[in-house]
Amino acid sequence: MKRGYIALGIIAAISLLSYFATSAVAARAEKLEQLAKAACTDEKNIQAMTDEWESSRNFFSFFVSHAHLEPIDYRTEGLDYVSKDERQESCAEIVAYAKEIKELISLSLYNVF
Amino acid sequence: MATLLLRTVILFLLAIVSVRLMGKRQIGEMQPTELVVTILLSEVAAAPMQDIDMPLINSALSVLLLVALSILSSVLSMRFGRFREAFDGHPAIVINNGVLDQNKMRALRLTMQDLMSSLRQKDVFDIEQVQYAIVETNGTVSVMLKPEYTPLTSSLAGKKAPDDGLPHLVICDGKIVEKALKSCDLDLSVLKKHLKKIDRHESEIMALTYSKNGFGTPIEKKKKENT
Repeated sequence: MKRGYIALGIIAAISLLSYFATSAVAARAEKLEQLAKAACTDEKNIQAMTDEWESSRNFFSFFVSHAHLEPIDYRTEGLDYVSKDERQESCAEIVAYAKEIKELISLSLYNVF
Repeated sequence: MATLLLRTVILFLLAIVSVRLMGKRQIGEMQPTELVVTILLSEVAAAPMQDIDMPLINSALSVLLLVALSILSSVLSMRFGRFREAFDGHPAIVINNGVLDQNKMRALRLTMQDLMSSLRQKDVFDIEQVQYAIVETNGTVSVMLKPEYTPLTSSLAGKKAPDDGLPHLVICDGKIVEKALKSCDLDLSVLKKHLKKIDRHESEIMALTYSKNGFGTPIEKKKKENT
């Protein structure tokens, strides 16, 4: 019976962890998305976006596979030195990737099945 | 993350249903839940070793969840008969009172060769000697012989067999096993006296046992032969 309680404890702990981790990942992805949107319109926001990405990258890597993170890594590099069109294109792609992370981590029938 | 949890639970249940559908002959000395957990654990644990792109936490949580589900299912099986039947199935009698139940064998997809092989593993070579044969939930076959083929026991002979107790290995590979001396309540001096009596040193003995009836015959250590 003791093991039964341990098993229930593990399930409860994993459920809680998954709930909080999902919320945290979604919140960080949302923040990145907003900053990327802002960077699309104003290049002054690029630094804030890259800073946010650098601080969140390791956190994301705990929960999301590298394949989903590498494109953002690639897009955030050298944004200060590219033309306005290229910058807007990169930022738009970052917005799309951030949305993808949010969708990937969220609980939905699409993801489950 | 929550997706991962739901996926693990769904696959766990799906694997159990599959194993239950495959029947007892596919199991091989494990309960269906144990087999499923063993198969899934090895896969889940191995995946992030091969693919470094995969977050470790996904696998770690799946492993923990599978273990928890396995424990939980065994606890529920212990408490609720219906749950046990649904998850582990129930034993099937294939030889009932000396009569082979061919319908049951067909249902279990058990061939005559399979049954004979299981009987032989139980030291039964003639099916006519069997009164009951039961295919257990883990796929093994339990056998009860007809009374005329049951080996003679002391109770059948109406005699009381002497209780020798459990023999303890007091000398193993030339060394005295202190733990065994304690568990059989034997004094070291008694052992030394016995060694003196048989004119042997402990280092010359490979194995010596002690039970209620006293010391057994010592097995002497042989020197390594050059081959």
